[in-house]
Amino acid sequence: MGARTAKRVGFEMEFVKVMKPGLLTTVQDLGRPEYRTFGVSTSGAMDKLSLQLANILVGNRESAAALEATLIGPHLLFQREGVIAITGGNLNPSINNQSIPMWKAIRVEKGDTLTFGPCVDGCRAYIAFAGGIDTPKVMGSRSTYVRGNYGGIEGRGLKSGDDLQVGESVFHVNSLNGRRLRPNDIPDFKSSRSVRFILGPHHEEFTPKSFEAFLNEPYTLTNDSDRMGYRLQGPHLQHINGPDIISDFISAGTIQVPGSGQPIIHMADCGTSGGYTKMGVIISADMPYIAQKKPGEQIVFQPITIEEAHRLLRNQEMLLSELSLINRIKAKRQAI
Amino acid sequence: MESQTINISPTFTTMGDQAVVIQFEKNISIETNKKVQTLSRLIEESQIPGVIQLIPAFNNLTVCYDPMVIGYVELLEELKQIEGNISKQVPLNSKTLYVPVAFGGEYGPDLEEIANHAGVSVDEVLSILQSKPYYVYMIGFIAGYPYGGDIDPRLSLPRRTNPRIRVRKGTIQIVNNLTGIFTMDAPSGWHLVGWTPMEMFNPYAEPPSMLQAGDFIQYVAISKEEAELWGQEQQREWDLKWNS
Repeated sequence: MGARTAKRVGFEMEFVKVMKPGLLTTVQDLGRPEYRTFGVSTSGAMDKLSLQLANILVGNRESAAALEATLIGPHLLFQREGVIAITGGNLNPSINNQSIPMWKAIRVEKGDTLTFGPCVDGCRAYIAFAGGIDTPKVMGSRSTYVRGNYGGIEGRGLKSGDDLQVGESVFHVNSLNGRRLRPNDIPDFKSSRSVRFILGPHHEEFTPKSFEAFLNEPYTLTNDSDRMGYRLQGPHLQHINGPDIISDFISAGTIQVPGSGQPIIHMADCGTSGGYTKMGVIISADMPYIAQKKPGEQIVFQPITIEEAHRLLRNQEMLLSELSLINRIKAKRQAI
Repeated sequence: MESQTINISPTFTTMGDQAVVIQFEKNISIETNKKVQTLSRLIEESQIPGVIQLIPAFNNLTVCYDPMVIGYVELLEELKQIEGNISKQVPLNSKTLYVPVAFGGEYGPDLEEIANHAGVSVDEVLSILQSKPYYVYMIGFIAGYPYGGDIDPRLSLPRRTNPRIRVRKGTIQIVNNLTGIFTMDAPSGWHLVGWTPMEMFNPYAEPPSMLQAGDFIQYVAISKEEAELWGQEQQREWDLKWNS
């Protein structure tokens, strides 16, 4: 074994010690959508775009597992050298009390500490480690589903004293350090713009007047908003034939309207079926944006066509595949 | 007189930018659900590139697709063509799962209310509940929850006005013409009749849920003591006797 091998990121040993867990910090990847047929929640990162960008920065596959921190970030101690990247909402990250930039690969040394300050913008930060978090997969995914008690670390959020295993990276520390995104490629969660959605299946089940109000007036995220769903407060939606339907499939992004007339947006940890009318579904490309909203913030809904939604999603997917090329090319070169 | 079958074509609706819902008659019936199952099987067999997953519900089928692989218009054309062959007979695999249930007492606090409503004794409610297997219309909610039916109309009660905040995993419950088994602790507005020690959902098993849409559930009464002492050994014996 030469020094070169020793410099590789990750030795299949504990990389990170959790000193403080933060408000809710969980291991997440892209979830388990293929198990929806079995009534299993998809789970996974709320903001899958930021998760994938963080992974790309540290040389991981886009689908690798990372930490999702919510509003108040964790306090982590690194047990050896490695490379990390923080993306998503700005929870004010620092290493050894020095503020560090987000959307950038950063080298850490043994004994370094990562802490977070007050939330500046957004709601959820993603902390990716070169090599990826290596907890056991459950139903094809490392994502934590707290309600079901499985995935991640013992099916729960992090707690003080936890050790995180990180896999081996194909990259050397020095080849990752300093990687950053072009400013234009960093998603803008701060801008206040409308949330785009596709109408249906039940948008005709509301009185025209209340439907109009839904499209034109803002809704506020209530405190009853978490990884399962966001309860909104705003103009009352009036059902024409009542709120109940014969239960059927729901997915993250579904805007469901129960008898209260106040919409609920289903999020990553939602169940797979529901029995209330569905106004529409938020477009895939806007899910990262809505995932970064926090209680008290307002949203305005804007219906768009399916073609437009697909165009926006294609742009996002193309950006990810373009950026991830660096990992494919470089990894190959090192293999030679 | 020959009975008339009115064949109404299903409707196709978008559900977001990665799913299409194929909606059949707006009722809960095994006949309608069999159409959902048949269509699901036919679409599965046709292996349309970009179709990722098929999720059957009571009276509709959700087709999840990857819009980077197949466009919406193109997908609709493919699906409509397959739907035209729905009268084709396809074999639908299904099994009957025998589920041990401790009825009543702390496990079934709503039994008496159901008996009063039906105008029969609690014992009669129990024998009605065990009188036939229930068809699993769909798997959903959270963690492989089976929606079974149809229960005897005498036992049909609407949802409770005050849902319980937390109902224990394993609880057998009924509402309207349906019955289900909780696979994890969750809130519930249904009526609780019993509890099973049988593991219906195991995230570490493949597949994770014991039941699939189209299967049948048959409840079999066991005593409270049996339920409390249930372990792997008892489950093995049970499966040998009933589920093999």
